[in-house]
Amino acid sequence: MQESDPNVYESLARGDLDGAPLPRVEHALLQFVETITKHAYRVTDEQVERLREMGWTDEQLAECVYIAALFAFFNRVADAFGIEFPTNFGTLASRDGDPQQSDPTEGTP
Amino acid sequence: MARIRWIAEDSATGPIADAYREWQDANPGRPVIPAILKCFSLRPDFFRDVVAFSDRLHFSEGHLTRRIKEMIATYVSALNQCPY
Repeated sequence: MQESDPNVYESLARGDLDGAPLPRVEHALLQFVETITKHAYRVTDEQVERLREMGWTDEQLAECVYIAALFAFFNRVADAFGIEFPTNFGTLASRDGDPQQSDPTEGTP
Repeated sequence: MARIRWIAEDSATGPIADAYREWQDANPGRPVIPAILKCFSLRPDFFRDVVAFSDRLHFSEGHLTRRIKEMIATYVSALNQCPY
């Protein structure tokens, strides 16, 4: 099940990462997303290594890059066309549910 | 309405009408095609690719949970709307 904290989404929607009540590892992943979004050329080996040390797998980091890039694509298209809420696909009925696999935040104190 | 033409649900014919109908069938109870997807309506073939692409990556199971992917999408969109 998706445990979505509205405060997290509200803060992130304002671009306020530090205001989002998130576990340290998720905060770090979103900092990575910020680097990719603002200036992907500034991503460093060290940044990726730090994320690995926190428990993120290369599979997860790769997928994170794809999602960040995909939404940059949607944002560019939306801005050029002049529509609001570019990535608002609306509330989607869950298709396969939440992936049942663990992420590094599970089971950490 | 966008500054570049797109095709509304009720004026769609041919390939884009088929593509819209398929999207609506896959998303029951949602007659309105999201604006971001309507941006692709002048290329019905690419519209289908974009839908398949985003469904596969964002809306289906992968290595990250849907919750995390949703957070990434939200944050990226916010950052892109902010002037640097």
